[in-house]
Amino acid sequence: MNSFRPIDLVRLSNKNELNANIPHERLKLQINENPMAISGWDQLFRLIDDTVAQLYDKSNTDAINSQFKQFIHNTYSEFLARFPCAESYWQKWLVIEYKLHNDKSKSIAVLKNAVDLVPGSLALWNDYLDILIDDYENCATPTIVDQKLELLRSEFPRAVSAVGWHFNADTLWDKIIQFELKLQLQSQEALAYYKQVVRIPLYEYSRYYMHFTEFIKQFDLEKSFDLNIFAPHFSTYGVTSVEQLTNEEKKTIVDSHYESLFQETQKWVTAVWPFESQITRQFFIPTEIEVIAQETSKWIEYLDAIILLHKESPTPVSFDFVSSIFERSLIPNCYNENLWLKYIAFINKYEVDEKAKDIKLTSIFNRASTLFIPLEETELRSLYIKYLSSTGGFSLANEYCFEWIKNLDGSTFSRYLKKPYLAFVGYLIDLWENHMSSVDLCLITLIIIIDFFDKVDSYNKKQEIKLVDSSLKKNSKFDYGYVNTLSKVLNASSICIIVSKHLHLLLKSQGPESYKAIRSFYNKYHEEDALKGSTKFWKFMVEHEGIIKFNINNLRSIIKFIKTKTNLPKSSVDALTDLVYDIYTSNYDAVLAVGQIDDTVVRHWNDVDNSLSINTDAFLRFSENNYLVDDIVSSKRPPVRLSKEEELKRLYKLNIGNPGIMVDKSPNVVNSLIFDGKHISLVDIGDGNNTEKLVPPETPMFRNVEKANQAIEYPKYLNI
Amino acid sequence: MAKNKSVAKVKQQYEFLLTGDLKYSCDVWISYLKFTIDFIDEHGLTDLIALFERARKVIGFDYWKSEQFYLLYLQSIITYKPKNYLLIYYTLVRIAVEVPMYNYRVFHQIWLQFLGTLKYNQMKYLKMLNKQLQPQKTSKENLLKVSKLKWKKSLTDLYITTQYKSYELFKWEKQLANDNSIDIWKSYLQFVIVNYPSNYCESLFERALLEHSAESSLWWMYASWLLNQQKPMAARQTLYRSIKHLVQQESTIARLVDMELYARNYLKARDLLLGYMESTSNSGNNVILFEKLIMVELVVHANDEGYILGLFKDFLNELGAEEVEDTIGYICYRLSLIQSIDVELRHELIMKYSSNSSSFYKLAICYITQQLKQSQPATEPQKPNFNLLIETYL
Repeated sequence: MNSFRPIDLVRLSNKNELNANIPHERLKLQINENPMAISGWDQLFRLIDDTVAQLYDKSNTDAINSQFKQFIHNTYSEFLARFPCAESYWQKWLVIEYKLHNDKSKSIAVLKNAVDLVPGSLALWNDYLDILIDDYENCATPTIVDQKLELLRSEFPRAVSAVGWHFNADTLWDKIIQFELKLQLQSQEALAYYKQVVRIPLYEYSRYYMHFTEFIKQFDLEKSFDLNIFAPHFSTYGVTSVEQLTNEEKKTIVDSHYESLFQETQKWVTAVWPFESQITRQFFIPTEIEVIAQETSKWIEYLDAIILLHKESPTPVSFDFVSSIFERSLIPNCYNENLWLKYIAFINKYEVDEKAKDIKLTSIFNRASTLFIPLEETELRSLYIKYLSSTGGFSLANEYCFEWIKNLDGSTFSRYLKKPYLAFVGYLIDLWENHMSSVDLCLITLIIIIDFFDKVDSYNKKQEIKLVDSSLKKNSKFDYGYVNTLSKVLNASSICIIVSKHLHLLLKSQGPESYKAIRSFYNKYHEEDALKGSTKFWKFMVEHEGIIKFNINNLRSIIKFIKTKTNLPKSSVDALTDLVYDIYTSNYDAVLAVGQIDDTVVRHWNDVDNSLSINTDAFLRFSENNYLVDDIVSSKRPPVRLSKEEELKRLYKLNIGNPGIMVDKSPNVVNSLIFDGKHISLVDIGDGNNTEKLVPPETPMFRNVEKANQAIEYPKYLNI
Repeated sequence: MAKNKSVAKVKQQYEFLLTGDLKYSCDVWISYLKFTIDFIDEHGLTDLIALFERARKVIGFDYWKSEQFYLLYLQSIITYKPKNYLLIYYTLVRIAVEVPMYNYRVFHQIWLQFLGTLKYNQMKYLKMLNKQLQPQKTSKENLLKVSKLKWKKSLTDLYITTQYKSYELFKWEKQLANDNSIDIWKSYLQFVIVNYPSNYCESLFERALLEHSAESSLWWMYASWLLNQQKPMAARQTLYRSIKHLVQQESTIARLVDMELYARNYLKARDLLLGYMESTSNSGNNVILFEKLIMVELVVHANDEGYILGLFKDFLNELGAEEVEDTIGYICYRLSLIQSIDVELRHELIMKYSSNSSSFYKLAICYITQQLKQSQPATEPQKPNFNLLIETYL
């Protein structure tokens, strides 16, 4: 749960506006530190409830000042934007809004917003319709009564299509049918709803069937039911039109038609009951994330079983039914990317109407992408890009990519989310690759790279870009503005993706001569800091020189650079060293043929060792890339300035006996008899054949003796 | 004469012991030295000191037992008084005082006593007189007194320094006394490698190996360290020494083969490998040894691609179907890297195992196709197949 959500891209409440001296605003400030922790929110809501209860005066809505009202409004809307599926908090909110303003329309607005955001929630729809019905029934002004009825009648079908298939939707159906019957006993509307509900596998499916059979007795069957129901039976009764049938015959036909539908419904209910009975969490409860996660597998089993049933005999009814289970499962599991993808896959495969499919997919993609899926997970979003790209929306896909890149690169959102940011840069390049020839993309990536690295030499850069540019514009319909946009959002990590793509494209598009371009690219750019940290770049170079264009000299200098100069993680260096070792040992004849003494193979085990005292190349590498060393070296003037390696060695010595605590003054004998590496022999003193005469050792001289008993300075955070 | 003969025989036995892995054992050395002292004859003094010197190189830095050794050495010098014995004695005490050891106080006290008994002439001979005072007219007694005071101060400083170092090392020695584990040894060694000269490190490595001779990682660390000291020969010798102590010898043999090839001892490398393969059963299927065999044969049979390819074919055939996919995949990966065999031939052999799904096999396919056609015709861009991609999630 401790990851970022799309809501984190929007700044809802400004820190500076909150006053730490007011208790509820102080709590809100604390919540801002860790907005995913539910306990902080609950504490704040309790405080709000208590304060409202104290101040509440039914006759005077101004007893609570408007600033606090606004605060409550903002708090709830921020919380529910973060946890849109938390139904109980919506319900709390509407109550408190009503209390604060003594105005039903405020609560209606809250609920309308709620059912728009979470259309799969039965509880919210029930509340919404309840309050609308209540509003209509208590309305005294005749001029707007009709408006309210119209609103109700337009919301009923929305409710039915959103949650009418919910297994426990009887409350909703009852509400609607009862409302229509109240208006008119022989209500055509009620009949239409009945016709729908008897086909739906509800928990109380048989009750509706019983009511329905009783209810239709009041109607003229011929007018109320479709001709399609009667037509197949004409031959049985020897007639050619509905009018020729007797009332008895009509009734028999309608009854048997709905009887068979009833059996169909019963079959579905039997199929779903084992699953429905197992699922205990139908709602999203922020405090029960773990229970919900345990039940996810049950939902998936349920869905798999029902999809299988639908696959055997696909009907519009069963399609709607599966969709509704998806919508329901996505309330508790709203942050589960795989479940969303499963839903999308289902709609993509089984929705027959192409236009409806496009609308549905776009809506689901957008809902999941902008409301729920954590920012670190990019699978669904990448598939949306591919979806757009495959349905002809190249520019839409571009805009979508850029929007995300800008959101994640740290410029608009205060935090830089590296992993998804890099992923989107990668998706963008893949998208371009799917829309232009590799030669063109190769040029484009080259322009971007030149633009990124050659900032100083701007004249040459411009010349080069112009050259590439003009050849590109002739060939491509690609919007050149994208290149500039991308150039602006690149950083040292993302440029490596472009470089890696560029090199692969060079290899692909330039044929046997590609190695020249690749090598000159390497010579020009390999010392750039950005590339020193790119595993992809170095892996490409090692594979190129070691496998594709086998050149042992180049390979040696590349691996030497990797081991001693780059800024790659240890595991990457180890993997590359292993690969080079494998290449060397598989081609040892060629290595010997070069003639130079090459200890790459024998030193391999030193190079992968985890200890800096053994792995001397790693020591060099660290000294190149250590900010402490950089600081120290640049702060010293030449006479006392040491090389980076020696400086790190000094730091390392100070730390090794007691990691983290610098003991920088240890006593030493300067002219030690034993620690200078020489062995003074005491043999054969004074003999004629002894060339080295034993001489009295010099007086010892010391360094730092007076500091031997100094107290060690522990870092403050240790509290020693 | 009979006695002399048997003494010589015992010494021979000692020498034999000290050529092997007990070369660094303090107990053996001290016992040898004591035996030599017990049976010393009139010509034996030079030999004895030579023997002490040999021992000092090997066990002179031992944290616990070097004390015993230095005491014995000093005792013998006092007893037998070789030529220049005063200078030898003085130099030896001076050395012993610097060695960080458990009982570091002893030699400090010995030296204080020694200083107390020295006369003006002896001080002069040992160049221990304070030269700075000489220009002033002062009596011999005074000079002696002032010099001795000066030396006492110097001794105290030396004492503090050695004490500091002994305490520093005691952190590890204490842990080792409780728990003689390999990890503590390694951490100890790393500290010593950074702070002490190579002869000190070497003797600590040897001490560690006396405790953990079956630990290949320790032998490897030793060999790697020797390589860092630019001593490839010594590293090789160390690995040869390690073989008889290890249960799993393959990887050490493999590393030795690397080292022999580096030293251009091609045939020795081959003999080592084949000798080991013959001596152990079931080594025919060993991947590590096979890798090395290929490496050696590449050198010995350079330009004979049919022969090398044949080795691969045989090895793969012997593996059979019941072997894990990973092994076959790995062998294919190794084959894909060998540039001296024609790429078409390699490709053909690798493709025989196309049902293999291991990650190394995928790598092999990737590498071999890259070599096969180094340029691909520029293809038209292809739009992604969304239906296919999303299908997997259902």
